[in-house]
Amino acid sequence: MKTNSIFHVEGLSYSYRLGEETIEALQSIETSIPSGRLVCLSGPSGSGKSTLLNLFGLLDKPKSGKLFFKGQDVNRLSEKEKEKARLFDLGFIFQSFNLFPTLTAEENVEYFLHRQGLSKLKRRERVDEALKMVGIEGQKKKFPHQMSGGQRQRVAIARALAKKPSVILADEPTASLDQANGKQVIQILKEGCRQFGLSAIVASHDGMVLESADDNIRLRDGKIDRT
Amino acid sequence: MIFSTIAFGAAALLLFRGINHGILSDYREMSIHSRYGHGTLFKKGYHGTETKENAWKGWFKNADEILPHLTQSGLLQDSFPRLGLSGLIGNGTVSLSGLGMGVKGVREAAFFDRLKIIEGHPLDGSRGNIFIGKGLAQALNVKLGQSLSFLTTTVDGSVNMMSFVLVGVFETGVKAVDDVSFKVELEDAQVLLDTQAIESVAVALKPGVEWEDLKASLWEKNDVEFFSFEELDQINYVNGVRWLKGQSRIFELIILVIILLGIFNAVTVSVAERCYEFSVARANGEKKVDILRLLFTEMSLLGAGSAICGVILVVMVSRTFLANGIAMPPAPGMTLGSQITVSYFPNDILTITALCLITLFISAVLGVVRVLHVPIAKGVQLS
Repeated sequence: MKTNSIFHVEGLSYSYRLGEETIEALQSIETSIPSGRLVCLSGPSGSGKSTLLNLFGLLDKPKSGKLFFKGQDVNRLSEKEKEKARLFDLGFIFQSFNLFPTLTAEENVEYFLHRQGLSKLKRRERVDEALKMVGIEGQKKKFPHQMSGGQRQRVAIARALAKKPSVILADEPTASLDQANGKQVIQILKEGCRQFGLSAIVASHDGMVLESADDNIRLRDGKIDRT
Repeated sequence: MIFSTIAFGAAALLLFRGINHGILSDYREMSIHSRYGHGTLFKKGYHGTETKENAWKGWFKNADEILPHLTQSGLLQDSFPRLGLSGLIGNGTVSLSGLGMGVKGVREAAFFDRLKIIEGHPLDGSRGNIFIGKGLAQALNVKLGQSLSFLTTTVDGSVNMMSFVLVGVFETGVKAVDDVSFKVELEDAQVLLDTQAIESVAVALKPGVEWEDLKASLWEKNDVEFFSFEELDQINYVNGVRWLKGQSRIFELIILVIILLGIFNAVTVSVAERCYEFSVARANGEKKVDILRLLFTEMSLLGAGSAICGVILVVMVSRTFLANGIAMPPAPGMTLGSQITVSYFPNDILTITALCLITLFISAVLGVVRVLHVPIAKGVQLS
């Protein structure tokens, strides 16, 4: 296992049943994700990008093989330890933003900081810093329905960044955005990697993401096609 | 959606109960203020076998035997000595059997204000006047100011007759009563029966005084029997109330089931719609127990807030649109309709709020348990 890896994968497989059929979503994956870099998981639809991202996010359990997160075998983590890792070490960005509709932009960003047990003052600092970094500090009192798609995605990034995680996992973050907004989102993630030393793993079809990423893992039919 | 379902549901239930309380309360008032007062006192043995043929043996010898004791109790608003009469009442061409009552006209007119005056006026203390039921007046085909004669037997069996002037026609609302009954002044009745006795004393209690309080205060008067208006008005009041309660219980159950199913449906749909929200929270490390706690807090505030709004809505409706009451048709066996007011009690408000909250919590728990079983990875894709 490489010591500077945030994730290390050995013979990882994942399958699920769809009716009578068993789908082999991932087969014997071997790879490492280095710290502090923007990594793109690319590949056609159904290649296993989202499944691998869910396993990295500790949202699913591998069926076989080993997945190490910060050197720890995730199969040995209890549910409580996984919850703690998701709260402190992992940040999520989704294609459809998944903001809480009844909370303002700043409340959305602050929500999980409250769960992290931070003081009100600390939370305010983190929220302001994250919103400034994504360039929407002027929109913080707005509700999601009052914002454009690009602005909503930036709030989602700010929410992930404010947690100060080790890794940000983004599933098709530019799919619902136009080219200009998509580019800005990736630039913000790159800046996050540079400024905070975090890793960002982005599952995407988007050629622009592929070009901007530091590393690329290409998947095809549940196997690594090219690294 | 949940808010309006609970608010309107609680309001509907409360209004339904309020209207039922209003109807029952109106029945009670009707019975008390048209015929019986809060109850009637008889001499002990009045209802015994010995008095079947010689009824006067079960009467109070005179008013002083009982009235001073009632006055001393301090529990009465008023008391109404009465003397029953039966015999033939005629207009010169037609004679019918009638059941009369000798009463203190002025005092009775003040308290028995639910007696509907069809024409004329009630007895006013003047001797020689008669006040008769609507059905009896129609059967005799008499008009105000006409003379009526009443033939009866005195307590010692002699025949006696007296002429009266018709001063008014009343309607109690009970046809069987209105077809045979009439009222004359107590003194006239005593002359007709050749006695100083009184048969019974109807009483009006002061506000807040219970029938049992009166019985307790006269405990040393062991030659008196007490009959509350419920005991005297079995057929119309007690049976009517039983019938109405039975019917309203069925309707209330139907309304309750519809409302509770509505709440259940609204809550489970709302929780299911928030599956992605809970999944996002769980993806970011939120514990299941935290989500349950959040939902319970939300549901408590929502449930209490909406139930309070429902209650306020009913209070507002009953004080504006329904301030003058609701006109109701006559109940079965009655001839008079009434204007009922919506009456609600703290117990109803608490029971209905509790029912709504319990349903809310049960549906929230069932909904959230289902949602928390959805894998996080699947849940976050549901937005």
